[in-house]
Amino acid sequence: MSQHDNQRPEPQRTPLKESAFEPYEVNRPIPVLVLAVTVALVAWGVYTLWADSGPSTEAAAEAEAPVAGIDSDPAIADNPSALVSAGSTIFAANCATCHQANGSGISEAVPPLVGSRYVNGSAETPVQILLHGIKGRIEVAGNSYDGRMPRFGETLTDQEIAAVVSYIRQQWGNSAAFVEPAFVAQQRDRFAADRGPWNGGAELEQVTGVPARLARATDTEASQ
Amino acid sequence: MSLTIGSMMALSFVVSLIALAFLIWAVASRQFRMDQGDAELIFPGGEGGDHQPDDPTSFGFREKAEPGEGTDTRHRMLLFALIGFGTFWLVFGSIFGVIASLKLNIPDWLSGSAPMTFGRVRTVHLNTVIYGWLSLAGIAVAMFIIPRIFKTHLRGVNFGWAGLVLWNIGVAAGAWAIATGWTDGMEWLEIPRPIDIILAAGGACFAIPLVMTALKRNVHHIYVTGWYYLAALVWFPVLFVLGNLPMHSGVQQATVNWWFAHNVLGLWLTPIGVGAAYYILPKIIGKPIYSYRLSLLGFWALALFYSQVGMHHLIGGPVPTWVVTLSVVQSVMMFVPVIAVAVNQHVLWATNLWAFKQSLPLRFVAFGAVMYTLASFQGSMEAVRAINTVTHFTHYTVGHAHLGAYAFVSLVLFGTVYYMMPILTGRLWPAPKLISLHFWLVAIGFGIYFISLTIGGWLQGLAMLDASRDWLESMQLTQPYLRGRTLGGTLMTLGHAIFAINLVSLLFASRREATPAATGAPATTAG
Repeated sequence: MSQHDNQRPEPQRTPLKESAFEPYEVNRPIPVLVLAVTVALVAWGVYTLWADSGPSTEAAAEAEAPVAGIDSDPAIADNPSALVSAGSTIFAANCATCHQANGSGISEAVPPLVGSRYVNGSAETPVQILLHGIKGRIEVAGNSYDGRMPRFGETLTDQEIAAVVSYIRQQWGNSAAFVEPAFVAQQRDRFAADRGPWNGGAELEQVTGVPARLARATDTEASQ
Repeated sequence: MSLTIGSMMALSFVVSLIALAFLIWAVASRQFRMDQGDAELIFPGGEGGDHQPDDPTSFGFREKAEPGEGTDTRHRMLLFALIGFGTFWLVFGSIFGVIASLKLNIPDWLSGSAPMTFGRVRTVHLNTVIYGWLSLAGIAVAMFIIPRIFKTHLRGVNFGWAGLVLWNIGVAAGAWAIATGWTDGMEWLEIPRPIDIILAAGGACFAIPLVMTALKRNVHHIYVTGWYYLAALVWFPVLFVLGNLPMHSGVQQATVNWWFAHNVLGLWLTPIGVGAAYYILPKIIGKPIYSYRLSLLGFWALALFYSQVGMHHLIGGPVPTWVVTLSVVQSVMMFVPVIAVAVNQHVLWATNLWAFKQSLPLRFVAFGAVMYTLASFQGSMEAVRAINTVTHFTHYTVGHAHLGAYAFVSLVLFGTVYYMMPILTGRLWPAPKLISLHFWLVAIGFGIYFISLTIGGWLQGLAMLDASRDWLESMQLTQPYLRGRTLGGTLMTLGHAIFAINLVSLLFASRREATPAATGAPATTAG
């Protein structure tokens, strides 16, 4: 550092007054090169916005892929075991991240599916939760949760929802009846698609009759 | 559905383009009547020829306060207080930055107490340097330059004092809140909302004197620095209030979060730095800026394109594709204002290299101006999906953030403070060598820091993309680069300590005109 200072004149120099010079700008034209770059960037920007304006995206295509084969196959619709096996694929792709592959949920964050009275009770409850999503307080298996689940009404078809609900109702010791695509279609027509998520267990109770709080029976008893 | 909003946003891009085309046409066909003749009429003195650089490390200030130059005592005390507190937050924030960096080398260090865990230490660092140092020093610089270019004195100084008190309470309370774990939980918006109200009130108190001064200006033509500062005073309060409104949730919240966070850089810190450089470079060198028309292009292109830049942070996130695409396009369009500013500023100093030998503040400011160009080019490239795929979620982004906020804005502010303090105090910097030491410490420290994080971050990104490599490998390979980060950060922090020492030493410097004998410098003739 001192080497540098030795080579150049000392910055501390003859005393002067502050210069009277005030900064201003010369009125030179904008260089042609700058204008050329601007035009080129504008052209690129318009092209990029245009090329990217289509509805399809990589993410959407990827999400569709694993379930594409079963969304309208009539052979699956009437066959409970085919429905359940298709449901396992859909579950792995859409649900397992939060509810876990074994349906146990995450302590204090995501309710379990195993032994849940919402899953094992009347089929309309799980179907409605999938169609519209749910947020807010809900009690499952003796614990209270306060989270948010997105709706799948738009991303999954009736048959796919029937498949995944059938799957979770018959896995991990759950043993409720399987659900037909026609039943999902009927549930879908009950409420507007954009009605927003269910407001916790309280609103589910009004719609499906599953009590938000269980005073007498435990969850496990309710499911059996 | 999304088409409606999407086409509206695309429309905003089209409107920006039309406005830009109109501006270029207007400039080309001389719709703006203010030209060089007018400018010279307003700023007598003309183009500087052969003289010494206007460097207050090289001249003594006469005690007589010059009216219209913003030097009355209360105004000066306010500027000292702003710079003093700003410097306190700079040193405070830098120490937290180094602690955070050390924690990446020694993960278990200080992990016993919650306030000293990485998440909080790093956040305290960010908030104190952005809202404490850069904002306070930036306001001080604005309050120094605005009265000068408007040829009047600063109005409403009492508002400035109120702002100083409120703002410092806000930053201190914010740092305390973050350390105790009370935050809003969004990057750059961590300070809890009740404390944000104090900051908003403080910010308004800073804006009032500057706007009052602008309204009472004694010049017709507003110099380019004035555009940047007046615009920033409008932009930042809007950003800060909208960003903190508790009305967004989910994906919207993330979008608003990054809209805010990036605009703090582009529409608050950038105008502060660019505006200061636009004033200090020609002032020290004594020659005018290259082109008024380029200034117009640079300012308006920033205003038109910047506000939608931030959403490129959500590439790969669950936001509509068109939001991200629009943001990528706007980010790349930022080349336009940056090139305009670059031509304007770099032509000036590059054709006057002699001044570097004699002016210490010029080194800081010109270095910062170059870093603005580099940071913006790098930022535009980082927004492109192909590059973002590698750099997102890596240390590369951290290096880029410091290139912009530190190497550009901080360095320009250092230089400006070194320039203005002798004018305000009438005292000479007692130890110019310490200024030089400060420069080399932060320049070398930053170089080590930036190169380490850029290389390390890029390798980290490549490792994370390689599915055949374990994720942990992408962490382990960054270790040597993270040691470089700590080393660079420590050097910069030492530089900041020198900066603080320089400021304190000025308090004790004798108030007299410098004579060559008194400063021990050889009396050389003007070059």
